[in-house]
Amino acid sequence: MAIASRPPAHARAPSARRACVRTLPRARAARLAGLAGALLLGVLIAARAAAVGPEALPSSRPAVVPPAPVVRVDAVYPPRQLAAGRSAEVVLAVTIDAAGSVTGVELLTSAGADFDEAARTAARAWRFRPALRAGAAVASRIRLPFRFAAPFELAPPPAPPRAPEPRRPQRTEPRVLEVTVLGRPSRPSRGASDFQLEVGELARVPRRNATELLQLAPGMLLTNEGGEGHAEQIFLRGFDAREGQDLELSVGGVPVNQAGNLHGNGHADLHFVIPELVVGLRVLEGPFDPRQGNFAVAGSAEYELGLARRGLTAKYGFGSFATQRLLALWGPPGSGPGTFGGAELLRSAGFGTNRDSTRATAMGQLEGRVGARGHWRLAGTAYATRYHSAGVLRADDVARGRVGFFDTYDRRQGGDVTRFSLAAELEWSGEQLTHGHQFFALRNSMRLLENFTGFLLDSQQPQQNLHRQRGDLIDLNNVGLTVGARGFGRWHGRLLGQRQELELGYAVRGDFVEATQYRNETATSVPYRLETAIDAELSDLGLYADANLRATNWLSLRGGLRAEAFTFNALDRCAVDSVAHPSRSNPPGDRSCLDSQDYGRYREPVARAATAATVFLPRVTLVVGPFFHLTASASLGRGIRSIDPIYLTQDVATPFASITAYEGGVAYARRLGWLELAGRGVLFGTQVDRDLIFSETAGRNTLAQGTTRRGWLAALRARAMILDLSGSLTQVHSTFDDTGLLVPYVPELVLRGDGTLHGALPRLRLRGQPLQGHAALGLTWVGRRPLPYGQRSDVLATVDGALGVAWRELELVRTLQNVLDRRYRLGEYNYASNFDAQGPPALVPARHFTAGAPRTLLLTLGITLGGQA
Amino acid sequence: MLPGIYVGQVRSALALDVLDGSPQPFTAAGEGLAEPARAAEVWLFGDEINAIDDPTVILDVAGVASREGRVFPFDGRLTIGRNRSLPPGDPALPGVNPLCKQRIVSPIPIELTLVEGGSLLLRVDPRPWFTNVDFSQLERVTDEPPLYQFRDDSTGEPERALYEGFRARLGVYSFEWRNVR
Repeated sequence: MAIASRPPAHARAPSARRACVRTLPRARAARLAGLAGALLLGVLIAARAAAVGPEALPSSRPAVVPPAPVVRVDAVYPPRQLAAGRSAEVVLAVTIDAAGSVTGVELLTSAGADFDEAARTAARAWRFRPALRAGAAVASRIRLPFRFAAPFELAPPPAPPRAPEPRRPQRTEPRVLEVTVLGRPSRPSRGASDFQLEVGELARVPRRNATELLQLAPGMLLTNEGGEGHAEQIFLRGFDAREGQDLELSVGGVPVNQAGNLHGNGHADLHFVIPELVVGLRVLEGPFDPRQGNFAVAGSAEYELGLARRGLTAKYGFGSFATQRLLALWGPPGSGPGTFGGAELLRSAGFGTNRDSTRATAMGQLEGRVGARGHWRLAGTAYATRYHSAGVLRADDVARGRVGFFDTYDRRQGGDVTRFSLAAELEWSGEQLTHGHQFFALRNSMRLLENFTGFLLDSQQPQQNLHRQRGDLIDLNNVGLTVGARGFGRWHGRLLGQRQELELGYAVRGDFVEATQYRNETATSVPYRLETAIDAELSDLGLYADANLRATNWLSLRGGLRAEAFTFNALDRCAVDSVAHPSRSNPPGDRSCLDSQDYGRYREPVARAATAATVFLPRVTLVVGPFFHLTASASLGRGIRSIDPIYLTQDVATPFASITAYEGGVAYARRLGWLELAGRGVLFGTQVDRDLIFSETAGRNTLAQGTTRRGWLAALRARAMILDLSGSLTQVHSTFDDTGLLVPYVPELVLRGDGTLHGALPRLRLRGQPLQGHAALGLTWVGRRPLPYGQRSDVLATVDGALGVAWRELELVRTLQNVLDRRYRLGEYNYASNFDAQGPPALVPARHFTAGAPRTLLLTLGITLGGQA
Repeated sequence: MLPGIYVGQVRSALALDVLDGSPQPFTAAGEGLAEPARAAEVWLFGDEINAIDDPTVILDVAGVASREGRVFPFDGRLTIGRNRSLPPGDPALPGVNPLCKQRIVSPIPIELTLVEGGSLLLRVDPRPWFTNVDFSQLERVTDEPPLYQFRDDSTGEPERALYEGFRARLGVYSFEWRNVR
């Protein structure tokens, strides 16, 4: 018996640098060694004590061999200084211990907080063959200048190789260390919600995959209802971006969003990215940059790849649930961080029933110069995974003991994914004009089996033979080929005594997609109904103009216009699933896609729809400051999300979701001695005319009504030599425009904290070599999320930690996720389902959840070999 | 099933003595949402709502009917299985008459809002079951004592009338909600 209710409502950096190498007297070396293991204060004291030493060197000392760099890491031009576009030089005094490790970095010549920190960060990663006296390794101290060339300036030609300097017995001559850094320049900031994140030491915080790096940006929540190989579901500032449908994602400039994916138009899976190869991340929370294209609804995220450490690194990790991870990274010595290779193999039984997974990833990138003014880059990725998924559980079944917390209803759930991509990039820098082009091609495939509702949706159709509920398992297959290009031309000149910039650019892609979705019978796993079969050709051409205009050195206006044109051509191979007058002589029976003979008029069960749409998207940001370390900004912009091919209608102007966003914010940046502070405060609002809301019956997000969200965020990052802390708090109120009801599943309050403590371990040495250690912590707290029908989820709170120790080329890291071993519901839903094929079906919406992982340990041993230039 | 959202449900079986005129509570707890309900359903089945056959006795009646001085002792048992299946009028539409349609009495108008901890009560008025039954057409199965019997199918007029009366959406089934104080 049941009761029914109402209807449902980122250059070169150190281009030429001299290292004035001096060694310390034995007594000082010993003293330095004794202090090198101390914490921050200890390191500073040691470095300063060493600084007064060289001039006091007695002349009767034995012959000295200076330290030689083994691993050279280039400094990255600070993204925040790109707008100013200036050159700078930072000079550091670097203390090197008898093992060749950098144990102290002292600032001798400053060029401002950003450049100083960039130089420090790079210097800390350098490794040396230690200085030798009488053949014995000793501590030493060198002077290491880093020069930062403005992003658009012409690079000086490489200096010819120098003949080896003759060794002098007591004092060494300066040595030139030259490294050229190539890279993709960061974009001028678009306000307080433009987070150009340097991962840096925060990479030590445990993360399951590269997607979780997004959590460094405020307001991000990641969940996953589909298993280890399934793309993460992303929530950002009041949006349920699902698997990226509302967040434009790119890696190394190559788009990740899959246009036309049947599981969700714009589906984005970042599992192909090896986290150790991510050096930077720009998250722009809102559509405020004309470079942002399709799917930039809640914003965009750009992953920058690189490998700072040269040489060959191999890591093997093993841990809970029979998890094994093998990682190989290599960066040819003498090349910049933009040339690297990496491969990863992962296998795990998973933390509960039906959660096993296997994945393999390979990534590689080469870059070099084209003459004096240009550079090129080639990149490729390959990725494949196979996994099983536990899917959702009903909370009432768990409470009654009918199923366990980490159990599953349907062991067939899971899937497999492949992705292969190639990209080529060319860029030239002239006196006033820089221009570049990137071409890419990628192929992806995805099979996904999910069952959200059990036995509920297989309703009897008149033309079907009589049947019972056969099961609701979705068997989705999506194959896509994407080819595209993007490019820009950027001019800069001076006006009003200020540097002015204008950029014109394009982004074009074509997507060719074949997709099917079946429902499979529980008893036999054979498909019994074809729900969707669609072949689509989608094209997207975006043109933009972006200006960076400065009236004074404290007032900038940035923005412009983007025009987007879409064309769609989709063949729906299953357009007819019921007919008004089925043939008596040839009844349709249980066939899904029905041709029809309607009173003598025959029609095929297919329908083709072709249409097009254009849209103009203005975006502007006003930046005022800095004053007293504070910079204020206000931004306004429109964004767009194209429509799923399944919603196309012939010659009807393609509907798309249109987004209007606005915000005002303040950014704070200041260096207080050894402490660097950066903070943000933002008030924001967004309106979307067609939002996407999760539908358990479709197994994905489907079009819904318009929504509006308003909120605020606060973010802080504090960095010192041995400390890196990041925290953010975001609050947002997201409602439907028509009913005023809260948008379900979207978190209203998200708190995230990341922190690392790293440096030489005090008094701990092994064979005369100091031990380096680190500790890292990641905290997530999410308030009770609204669910359909007035329900609220549980609070989500997790603590992850890591401890690591490194000695010479070896490193041992222990990561622990869900340190407190709390049982928590990662995703929560409220809808009707019936997972009991026997007895009366459940029809009333009930709480469902996907289980969060229990305490998970991973022990990783790493070794780095080679690295000589 | 009805369009809209099901806001409450009791999935346990309920055996009712319909001669007790008081509203009767369900013996097991149900589940629901605190949302207003506008329509209700009664599902009359044994094992599975879509079963092609079902021997579960849904209705067991016995009594004495009288009219114009004539007395009709009667009994009858009613199941909803193959005996109630309706052949499709169009061979191209074999699924047009699934048995689940016959096993669900819907929609029954109601006006109530479920509240946590309250009780749903069901009252069944048997009188409309027999309103259109012509007992004189029942088959007399024994003479001593005399007994008339409803056959468990819908081939006869009285049987069809009882079956239709039993599944009437108006006048037979009514619901009440009792809040816990």
